Amino acid sequence: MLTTLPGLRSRKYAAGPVKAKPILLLLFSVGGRRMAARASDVGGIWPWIEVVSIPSGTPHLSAVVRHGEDILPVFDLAGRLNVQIKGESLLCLIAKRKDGPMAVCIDGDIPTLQVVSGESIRPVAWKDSDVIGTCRIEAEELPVYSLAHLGLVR
Amino acid sequence: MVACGQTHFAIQADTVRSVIRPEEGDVDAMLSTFGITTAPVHLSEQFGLTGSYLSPESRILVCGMQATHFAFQVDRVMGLHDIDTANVKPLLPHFIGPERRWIAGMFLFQQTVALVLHTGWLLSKDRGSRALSLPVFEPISDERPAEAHSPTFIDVPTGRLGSPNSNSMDFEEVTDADDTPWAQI
Repeated sequence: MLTTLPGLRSRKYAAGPVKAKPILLLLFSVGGRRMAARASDVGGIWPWIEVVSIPSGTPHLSAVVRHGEDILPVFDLAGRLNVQIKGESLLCLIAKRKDGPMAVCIDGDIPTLQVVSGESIRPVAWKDSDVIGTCRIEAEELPVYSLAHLGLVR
Repeated sequence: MVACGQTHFAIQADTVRSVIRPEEGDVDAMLSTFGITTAPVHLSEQFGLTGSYLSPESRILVCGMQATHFAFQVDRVMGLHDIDTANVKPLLPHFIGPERRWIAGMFLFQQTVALVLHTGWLLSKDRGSRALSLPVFEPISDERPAEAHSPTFIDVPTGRLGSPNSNSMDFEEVTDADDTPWAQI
């Protein structure tokens, strides 16, 4: 006969429902499209600098950018979304992709940080999409991008 | 070192047999001394890009080994530069298309980045047609085309990537911005 430890059930109930883990999201825009990404997948944000074109057959990767002694590939997220980057002073977002960091040009609007609960992100599974979920922030339903898999077909 | 547009390329110096100004007399006759009977093609066109033939500083490079020679037009010749191979980095693993066959590596050069061309590819007879006809490989996370792993003289082995879980929403708990130091600036 199976028994439970005395008091276990009562203690669990006494603790109340499990709290959703808070998640820090970075909100930014590309070509006027607002989107979000997990802040821990972002390696930094710099002013956009001149890129070096590279002959390439890899989709949306045809340039590198020099940052000090480092060379980073440039992922053309605006091209993938078929939009034009907006703003005069563009920004460079460093996406911590699983195979190494990439530079991504984003709009000049200063990105903001937002803490949301894990439950507020609804998973989606769009084919060939970098979007892993959506999240309502204030009145907007924003796509949440996986920067760790950006440009990788899953 | 040569340039096409704003991109700098490094070509192994001992493969360069001659540098010719396009306006320097009978180019065809000069090329014929190397056994070259076809008009020089712009280096950019070897990558399937459009090359400009209007650069005032353009030059024709004659490259070859032994009896086989090819002529390429470039926008600018920047001269000889000693490159420490220790400073040459492999092409970033994000690039998984035919560029892995074209580019052996990259290094910091002046205020920019220079690309080291694969000598074997540059001097191969089917280089142009392969550049244009080969399919573009779709980026995939845990399986890469053989080209992505083809060793070069500077290639370094890359670790196996973990398997992605596209549906995973394994977010970590965040209580503040300690893990995002850039956010504290």
